[in-house]
Amino acid sequence: MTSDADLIAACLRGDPRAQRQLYNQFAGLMLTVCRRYLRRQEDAEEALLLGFAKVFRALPTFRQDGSFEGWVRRIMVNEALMELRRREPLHLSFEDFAQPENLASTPATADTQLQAEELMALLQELPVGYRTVFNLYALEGYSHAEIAEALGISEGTSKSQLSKARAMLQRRLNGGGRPAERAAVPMYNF
Amino acid sequence: MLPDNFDDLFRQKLDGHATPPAPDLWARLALPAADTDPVDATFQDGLRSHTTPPRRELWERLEDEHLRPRPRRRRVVVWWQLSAAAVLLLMLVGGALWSGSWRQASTGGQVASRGNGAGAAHPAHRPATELPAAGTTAANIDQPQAAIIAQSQDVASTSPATSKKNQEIFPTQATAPRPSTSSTPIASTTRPRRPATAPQASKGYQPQRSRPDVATSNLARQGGRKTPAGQSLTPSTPHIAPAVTPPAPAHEAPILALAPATPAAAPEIIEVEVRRGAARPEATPVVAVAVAADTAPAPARRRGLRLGGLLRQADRLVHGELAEATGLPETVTLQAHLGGRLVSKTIQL
Repeated sequence: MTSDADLIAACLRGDPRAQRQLYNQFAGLMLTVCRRYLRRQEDAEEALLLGFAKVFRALPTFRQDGSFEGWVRRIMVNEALMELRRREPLHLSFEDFAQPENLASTPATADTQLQAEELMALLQELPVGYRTVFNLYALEGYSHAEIAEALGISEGTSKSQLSKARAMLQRRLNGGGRPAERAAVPMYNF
Repeated sequence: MLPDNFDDLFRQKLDGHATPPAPDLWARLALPAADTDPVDATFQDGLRSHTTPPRRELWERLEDEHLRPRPRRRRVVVWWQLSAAAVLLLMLVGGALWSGSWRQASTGGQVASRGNGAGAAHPAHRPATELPAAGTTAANIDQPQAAIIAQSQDVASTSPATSKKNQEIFPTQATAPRPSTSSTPIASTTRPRRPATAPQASKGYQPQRSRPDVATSNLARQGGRKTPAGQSLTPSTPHIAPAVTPPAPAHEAPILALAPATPAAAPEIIEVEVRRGAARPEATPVVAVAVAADTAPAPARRRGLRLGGLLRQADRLVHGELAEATGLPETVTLQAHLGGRLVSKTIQL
């Protein structure tokens, strides 16, 4: 079992086996990351492909002072966002029901038993604006300032989208019906 | 007490002293994060280690398109070279066809007789024996115009009405009706195959330059071709050969024989206009006007369009439009002013 540093060094030498090993090590995980942003499987695969191409191209610039997986994941997230712009125009939507003050904060109990694919399905049913902000904030750990910069929106919009995404997910986790908020009003295209 | 003693006192008493946190504080610290939303936590836990195995083809695509794209580039280079060679070849072929027709048109001399030659080479065209019937000899007209004139002569003479009029106007030319009737089946049988026969017309130009008598050679060629039974072309040959304008040197000034080839009919002026498109003289441009005017500017104008025409011909050749590559329009209108009468004929090429 080689370490990330050895693997990176071998990839930098152009070793095809090392490249394949690096791909095998991260492809499954990163495809899940891409699928969280992109509804269609082929779009997620395209983002993964372009993301790995960028990883191998930018490998000489990787500084070994941080997590390699985090570096790869960040590239994949950026690539997924770019693919998202190409494939799904990002509509940020507002609904009356989902005002943050009206949100119930009941903890998910049995929901934690949900399988990963069910969670993926719930994520993919979110409107694209909700899904993107929720992914970036809750799962990737971006701050609202970083999200606002990445998506070209204000921090307030990012917070609002996150709250509405959480509300919708919570309703779905609690067994709520399909939300009427799917008919969203497009506010921003980017 | 000295300050040093106070320092030692506090150090000794408090160093290593532990203050255990309260139970509520421990409970708060045990949570993953104080502000973590339960929904966030659900998705973080559920998807943290979730993987989606990619398809096998994805790695192959990554290798082929991004990691090791060199063989693909070589293939692209080879395709580019092949494409460039094919384009060059097409341009050469088109240029050869075009320059052949250009030289044909620019050498001057009897365009009408060449048009007959083209007509002889072209199955749809009539032999040169029809030339007196049309009564037009245009010189110094470029190839498409010559072809148009030749075809228009063809149609004008094959039309029974026109032939009849010609007979009335030129009663001395007894040879005109006969070839027209003899070659009509040929024209009618071969006209639908216009695209296939168009290259033959262009081929027919080059050998004509060395022919002393187009009419005889045309007839000779037609003799080798299958003609309808009972239709003999040979009897008309002795009458026609003198009627056709004798071959002139290439440098000779063009003579537009507007009058019938028979010198006795000189006072009559025949004006023949060939137009592209339908019979709308005011709207359609005149392709060739076989009057007693010099049409020399036409070749000069075409010289300027040489490259563009070459490219167009190459493009048409690529698309298989061989007839169009020769410059023939779809429809040609022929108007002949014969002694005060206006004969108009629209020909669908």
